[in-house]
Amino acid sequence: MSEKVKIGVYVCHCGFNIAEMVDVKKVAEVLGKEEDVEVAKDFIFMCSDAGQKMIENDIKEKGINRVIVASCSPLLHEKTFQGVLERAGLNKFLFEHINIREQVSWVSKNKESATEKAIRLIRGGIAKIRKQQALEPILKKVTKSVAVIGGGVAGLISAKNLGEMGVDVTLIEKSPFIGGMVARWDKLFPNDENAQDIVRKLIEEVKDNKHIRILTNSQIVGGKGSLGGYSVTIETISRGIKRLPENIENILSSCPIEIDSPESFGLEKRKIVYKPEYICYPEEYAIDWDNLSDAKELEKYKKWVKESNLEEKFELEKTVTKEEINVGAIIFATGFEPYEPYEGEYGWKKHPNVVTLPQLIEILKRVDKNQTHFVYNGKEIKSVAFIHCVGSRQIEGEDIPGPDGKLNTYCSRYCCNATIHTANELKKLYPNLHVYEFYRDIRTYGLDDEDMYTKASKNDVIFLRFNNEYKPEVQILENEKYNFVISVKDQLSYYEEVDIPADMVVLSVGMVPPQIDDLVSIFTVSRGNDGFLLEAHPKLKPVETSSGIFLAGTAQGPMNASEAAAGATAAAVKVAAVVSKDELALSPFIARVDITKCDATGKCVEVCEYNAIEVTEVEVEKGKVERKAQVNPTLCVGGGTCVSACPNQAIRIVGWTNEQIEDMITAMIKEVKE
Amino acid sequence: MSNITVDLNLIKEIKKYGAFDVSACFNCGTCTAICPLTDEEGNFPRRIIRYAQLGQKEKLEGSKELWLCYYCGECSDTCPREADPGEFMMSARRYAIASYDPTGISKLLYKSKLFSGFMVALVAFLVGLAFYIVRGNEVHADSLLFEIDPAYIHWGGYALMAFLAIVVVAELWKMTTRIYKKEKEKLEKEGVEIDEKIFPKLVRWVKNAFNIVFVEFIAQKRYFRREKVEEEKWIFSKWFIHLNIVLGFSGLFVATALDFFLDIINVKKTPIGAVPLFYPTRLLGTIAGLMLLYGIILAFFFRLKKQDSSREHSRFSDWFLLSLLFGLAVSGFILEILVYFPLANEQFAFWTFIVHVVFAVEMIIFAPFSKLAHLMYRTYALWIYKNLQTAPKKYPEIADLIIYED
Repeated sequence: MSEKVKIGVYVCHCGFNIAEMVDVKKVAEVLGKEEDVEVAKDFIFMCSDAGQKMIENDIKEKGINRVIVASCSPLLHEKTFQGVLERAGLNKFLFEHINIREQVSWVSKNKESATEKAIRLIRGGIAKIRKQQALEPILKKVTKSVAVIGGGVAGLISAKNLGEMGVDVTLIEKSPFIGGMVARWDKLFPNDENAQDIVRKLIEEVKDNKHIRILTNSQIVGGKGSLGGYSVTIETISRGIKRLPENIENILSSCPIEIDSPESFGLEKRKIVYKPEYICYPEEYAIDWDNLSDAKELEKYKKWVKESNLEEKFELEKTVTKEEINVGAIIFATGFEPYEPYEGEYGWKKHPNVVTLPQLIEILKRVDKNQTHFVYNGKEIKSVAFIHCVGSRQIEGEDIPGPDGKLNTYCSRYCCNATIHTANELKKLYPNLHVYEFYRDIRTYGLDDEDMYTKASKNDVIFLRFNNEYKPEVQILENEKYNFVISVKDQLSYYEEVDIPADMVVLSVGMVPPQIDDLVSIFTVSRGNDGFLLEAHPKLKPVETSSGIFLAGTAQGPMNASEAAAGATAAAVKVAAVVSKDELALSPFIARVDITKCDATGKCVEVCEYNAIEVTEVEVEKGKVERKAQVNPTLCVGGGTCVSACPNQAIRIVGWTNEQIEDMITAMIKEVKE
Repeated sequence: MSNITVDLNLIKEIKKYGAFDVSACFNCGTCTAICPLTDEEGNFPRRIIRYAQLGQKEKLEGSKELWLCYYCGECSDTCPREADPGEFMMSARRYAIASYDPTGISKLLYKSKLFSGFMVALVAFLVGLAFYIVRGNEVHADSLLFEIDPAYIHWGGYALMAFLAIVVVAELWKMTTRIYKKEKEKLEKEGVEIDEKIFPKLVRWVKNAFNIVFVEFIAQKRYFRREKVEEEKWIFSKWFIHLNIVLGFSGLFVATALDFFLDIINVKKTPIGAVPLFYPTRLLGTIAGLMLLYGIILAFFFRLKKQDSSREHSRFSDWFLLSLLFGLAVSGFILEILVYFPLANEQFAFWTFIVHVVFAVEMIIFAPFSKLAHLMYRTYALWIYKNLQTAPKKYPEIADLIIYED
C-alpha cells in the first residue's frame, strides 16, 4: 500500500435528529485533527444529492481514499454511500458507516456525553478504515432451478408461478398424493368457493407445466449449500403398485389391514392400499408404507398378498431410491397440522360425538343432503355446540401444555371464520338445528368475514362468551334426551352459569407446526417460539430467511387459504428474483485460513453454525498435501466464531482483522479533550 | 342458584310482536352505553336482549327496565349491527303485556288484526244493543241526550269495571311477583342486604308515589331531554306530544270521573241540560280535549312521516290506540259543540253521543289489553324502581365478593 491514506469524515445532522443531541460542528472539528484525516465536514443531510456530491467531489479533487459517514443506521444508507464511492472510482469497501443516530442521538439525554460518544465511535471507524484493503465481492454462480417442499396449495401455487416464469421446479411431497389440507375441505369461507375445484385447477396447471416435476412419496434427507446453490438429496419411496388389478375394490375388501384413515381425520377406517376420496394427484392407488413400519403388520400384509396371488400386482416391500439435485433456492411449503386435543379436553375421546371442526366438515360431506334432519351415528342431532380456541391462545397456568411441553399462545386465525362459516352451513342445511358457539373473542377479520358473523347471529346461532380461566365444562349424559350438557359462565349473561344441551360438541382446533425437525436442521432454518418457521423480517422480508430458504403458506404460521396463496406467490417472486440472475455478489467479509498456521484441530468446524468450514486435504506446497481447514466462501457469513475458537489464530475475517480491532479499541478509549 | 337453561323459542315468540332484527345483536353493549336511562339499577337494552336470546322468560318478564324505556331511539341509531334494540324493547313490552294478561285477550289483539277488528265491532255492537234495549228505536225530538235512564248503563258499567279491575289486579300481581323474584335474586347474588323497618319503608314508598305522580307522570320528566327538545323545536318534540296526550287523556278522565262523582252526591244533576261552559269540570274537559287532540294529530303525522327511528316501525297496536283516542276526542268535541248550539239536529246529536260512548267503552275495555296498559305498568314500574333506588342498602365487604375479570 504505497498510496498515502487520506480519510474523509462526514458528519450528518439528519435535520435535527442528530444535531439536536450531538454537537456535530465540534465532532467535525475534533476529528479533523486526527491523523490521516484529510477533511472532516458536517452537513444537514448527507444522503441528499448535495451531500453525496460533496463526498464525490472530495474523492475526485482532494484524493480522499477512505470514507467515513457518521449518520443513521447502515441498514438505511450504507448502500447509498458505497454507491458514491463507486461513482467516484473508489473501491466501495473502503467505506465505513458509523451510526450516530439510533446508537447515539436518539438514545441520549445529555448533549455533552452524546457528542463524546459520537467522537469515540468515529475514531474507532477511522482506526479501522485506515488499514482497510480494497476488496472485491465474491461471485457465485446461480443454479437456475428450485425445490418446493410440500404439495399443498402453497406449494402448488409457488411451483405454478415459478413454472409459468420458465423456472425448473421440483415439487417434493412426502405423502403419496398432492393436494394437501385444502383438498380435504368442502366450501371455503367467506364466499363458498369449492375447495375441490380450486385444488383440481392447481393440480392441472402444475402437472401440465413442463418445467415442473412432481415427486410424491419423497422427502429431502440431506442437503447443503446457500443462496444460489444447494445440492439436495431426495429419497423416494415406491408407491407399491406394480400393476393395478382390474377388480381392485373387490380385492381390497379382503385386505386384513385397516387403519383409522388420516384422510378423514380418523373418522373412518380404510385399507392399507388406498386412494383418497377427495381430489388428489396422482389418482392412483398407493400402499401406505408408513403404517406398515411395524414388522408384524408387514408380515400380515405380505401374507395377504401372497395368499391372494397379488405378487404380480403389489410390491411386498417398499423400495427406496435416492437422487441428488442442484437448486438455487428452496421453498418451504410444509404446511400445518390440526391441533390434537388431549384426552378429556372438552370430552375428546370420551364420546364419539365430540369431534373436531375438520371432522365435522368430513361428516357433512357424507350426510344425505336430502334428509331434513341431521343424523349422525344413527341418532338425530338437534343441537350442536362449537367450542372456539381449542389449542390456541393458551395461557400459562390456565391451559395444559402439549406433549412437547409448549403452550400454543398464538391465535390460529382461521378457526373463527371457519367455525362461523360451518355454523351457517349447518343452519342452511337444517334450519331447525340449534347451534351454539362458545368463544373467547370473535376474530372475523377479513373483508367479507364480518358479514358471515352477522349472518350467523341473524340465523339465531347463539354465542356464549367465556373467559379462558373458566372454560366451558362438557358433561356427558347417559340415556337422556341430549348427549351432553355444557355449562359455562357466560360473560354476556353477566357471568351467570348457563347450561346448554347438545348432541354434538365440535372443537375448533387451531393449527400447529408439522413435525419437520429433520428438514429444519438440514438447512438451519430459524423457528419462532411457537415452532413455525421464522421469516427474516415481518415487514421487509416477509417470505425470506437469511439464506436461500423461502417460506410459503402455513409453514410460517396460521393463515387461511387466501393468505397462504398470497404468501406462496410472494415466495415465488422472491425466488424468481434470485434464480433469474446468473451470478450473486456475496459479501467479501468472510473467514480466511492462514494455512501456514493451521493445525487442522477442527475447532472452527465445531463452532461454525453455517457448516462453512471443512478440514480437507490441501496442497500446501507443490506435491505436498496436508489436512487443513477450508472455508466455503458461499456459505460463510463472516460470523467470526471460528476466529475466537482457533487456538493458533490461523483464521481471520477479511476486513475485521485482529489488528484492526485492536486499533479500534485503542482509538475508542482515548480521552476526548477540548 | 340454579343454572340458566336455554329456551330458543322465546326470541321467536317476541319476534311476533315486532323486533325482526334483534337476532343480529352481538352483545357489544353500545346500546347500554348510549342509553340515557342506564344506571346502577337498570341496564338497558343489552341485558334484556340477552334474556330474550337465551330464553330467560321469567327474568325478561320481571324486568322493570321494559317499562322505563320511552323509546328515544338512540340505541337503534347507534347499533353497529342494526339490530334495532329500541324496537326490541317495544316488542318485549308488547310481549310482556300479553304475558301478564291471564285472559289471553292481549295476545290475540297483538297478533291478529282480524281478532282486533272483530272485538272492536263486537263492543260497538254491544253498546248499540244496550242503547236499543234502553231506548228502543225511538229517536225523536224529546229524546234529549240527557234523558237516557242511566240506571242500566251504570249497572252495566259497574259489572264491566269489576271485570276489568280483576284483570288489572291479576296483571299487576304477576308483574310484581316477577319483578320481586328477579330483584331478590339479584340482591342475594350481590350480597346486598336491605334492613328497614316497616313504617319508614311505607313512608318512603308513599313519598316515592307522590314523586312519581308529579315528576314522572304529570311532568314526564324522564321523557324530557333538553337537547332533544331543543333540536326538534319544543312544540313538536316527542316529549311535548306525549305530555299533551297523557295530560289530555288524564284530564278528560278526571273531568268525567268528577262529573260522575258530583252526580252521585247530587251536586250536579245531569238531566238538567248543558252546564255552563265555564263550569270547572266542563272547562277542564275542554282544555284536556284540546291537548289530547293536539298530541294525537302530531303523533299521527310524525308516525306517518316516519320522523325518526323510534317512529319508523308503527305497529297495528300503535295505530289502534291512536285511532281510539282520536275517535274519542273528535266525537267528544262534536258533541260539545252540539250541546251549545240549540239549533243542532237532535238525531245527529244522539248518534254522535252513541259513537262517543262506543269509543269510550272501547277505550276502557281494551285498556288492560292494549298499548294503553303501559300507562299503568309504566307508572307502577317507575314506582318500584324508585323504591329500589331509595332503599337503604348494606353492601358486602369487597373481600366477600367474587370478582371475575372481564
